Amino acid sequence: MNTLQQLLLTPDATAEMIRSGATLAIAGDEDVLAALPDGNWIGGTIPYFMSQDGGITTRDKLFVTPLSFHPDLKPTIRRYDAASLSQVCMEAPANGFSLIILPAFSEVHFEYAQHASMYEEMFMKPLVGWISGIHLDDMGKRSPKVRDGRSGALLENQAVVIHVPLPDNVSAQVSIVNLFTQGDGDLIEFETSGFEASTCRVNGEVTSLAKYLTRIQHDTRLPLVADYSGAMINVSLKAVDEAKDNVQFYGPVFPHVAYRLAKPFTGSYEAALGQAIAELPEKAGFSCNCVLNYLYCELEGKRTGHVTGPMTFGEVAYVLLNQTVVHLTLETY
Amino acid sequence: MKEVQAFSIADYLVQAAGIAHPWRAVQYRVDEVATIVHVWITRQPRPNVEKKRSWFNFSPAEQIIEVPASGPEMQWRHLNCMNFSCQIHTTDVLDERHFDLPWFGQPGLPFSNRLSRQIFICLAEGMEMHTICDILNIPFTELWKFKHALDNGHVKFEYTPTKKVDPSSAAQTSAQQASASASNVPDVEDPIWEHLITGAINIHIKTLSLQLILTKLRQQVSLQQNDEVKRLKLRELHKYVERNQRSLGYELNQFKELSHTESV
Repeated sequence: MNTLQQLLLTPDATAEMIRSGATLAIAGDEDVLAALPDGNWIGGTIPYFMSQDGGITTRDKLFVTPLSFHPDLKPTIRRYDAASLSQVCMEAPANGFSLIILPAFSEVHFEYAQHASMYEEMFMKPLVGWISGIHLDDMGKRSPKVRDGRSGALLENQAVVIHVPLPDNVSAQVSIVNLFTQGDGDLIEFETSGFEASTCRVNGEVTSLAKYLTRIQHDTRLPLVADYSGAMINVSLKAVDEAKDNVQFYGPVFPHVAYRLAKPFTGSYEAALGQAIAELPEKAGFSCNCVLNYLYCELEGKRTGHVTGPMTFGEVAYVLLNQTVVHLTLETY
Repeated sequence: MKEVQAFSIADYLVQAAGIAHPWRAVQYRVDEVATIVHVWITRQPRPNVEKKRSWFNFSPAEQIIEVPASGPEMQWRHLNCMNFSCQIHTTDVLDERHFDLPWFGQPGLPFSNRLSRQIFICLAEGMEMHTICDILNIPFTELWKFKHALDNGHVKFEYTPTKKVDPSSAAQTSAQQASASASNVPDVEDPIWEHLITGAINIHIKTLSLQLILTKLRQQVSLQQNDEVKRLKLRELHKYVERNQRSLGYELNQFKELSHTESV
């Protein structure tokens, strides 16, 4: 199986690849993404990348993931709104994988974040992707978008998906690398799901989460972490407002899930990540990392092993993740 | 919309829908384009029928005075009526107990309780959701909404699925067993699945999708502790493992060991 390399390219080189008929997933700032020609591709807005040469913020280049693996098996592109998103796995190929891009802060983003795990066929077929974002300087001026490359329109409230079929002797494997683990502190639970919370239960006692985090002087770069049968799943903290008694998250918290605040991180992120991903296969069909890791760990100009890709406003490995590397590889049998 | 002058047809529809007294039809509408029969029902008494005398008192004419609607309209998709689907409406203010009547459904859910039970049985018997949609002619989004409520314990049903035994051939059964054995996936009847789904046993899992699906199914089983749901979820886990066995070598070896230990 020929796994094509993901690359940071100029708009001209990207346009050339599109015109060649290749099926692609493309990440780039809004202006360069909007200027690309129509073709067999999906894209999302983001100007932060982990390139082959290290972390980079650029509005002038695009990160391109080729998805044409087999000439006889044509990938299909689909768009979903919040009402149809639940069918995303149903429409995925029986053997293959799907790559989804959702615009941050949109209805589809919230719908997916809160309900994806309940979608029919979820977890049965490999699904990866990311949440599109904006340059932080553009906050309040622009909104995250996606593009269905078959037409020119940028979309603010739809998800774009490429369903990629694979030959019978090839399987897609989805892995994550999360350097955070549950700390030894209090058990935190929520009564309802959502991207914000005022109260929670701390060791069973109803408590104001904002007041609790302020009282323990929590470093908000450290997420809430839940243990899903061995998979550490983060919910990153966006804002803690003690006066309004409100905490906002980058992903939803769920009831009946036991969270703990992450163990404080020691050492350099890029070294630890490099070590953690050393075991992953070198040639990824797709990978991405979180913009919070990029910012908090100051990855600009630094390399994180062989894992490259967009640094996003959320990652998808079946469900929505925060502060996590997502990695998809193809295995031939 | 046909008003109550076609009263007998509405009465027949109510009878066919299994709706019992004191509930009765106040109106119905047959949408031939969408092939839907809509029936509005109420528990209010029949309107007074004033027998007005016609001129010279030769023949009485009936005038029906309906009780006005008193609450917001609620509706549920009910059992299909031949080639038509059937929607039950009411504008009565419903008490909590009314939502358990077979021809009504739970607030916020699309199906009547009777249709919900039929769908639950299909799911419990392992039928694919798209097949259920095809057979019953229901939109996938509505079925998904119902399954979401089911998975979260918002609706409950009692039902014991039939054991699927091939009646024609024992040889085929042993072939299936041989195939299961060759595929390394323990049979769906193996107690290991129940032990996994209830958390009675734990294995070390490396595969992300198994970690996520097992966590979800365990949560659903713990929220709704009855044998039917457990069985439904156990089948889902088995289906997942069967489909993904190529990627689950590490975990399947542990299944095999545990299954062997159980049987010894």
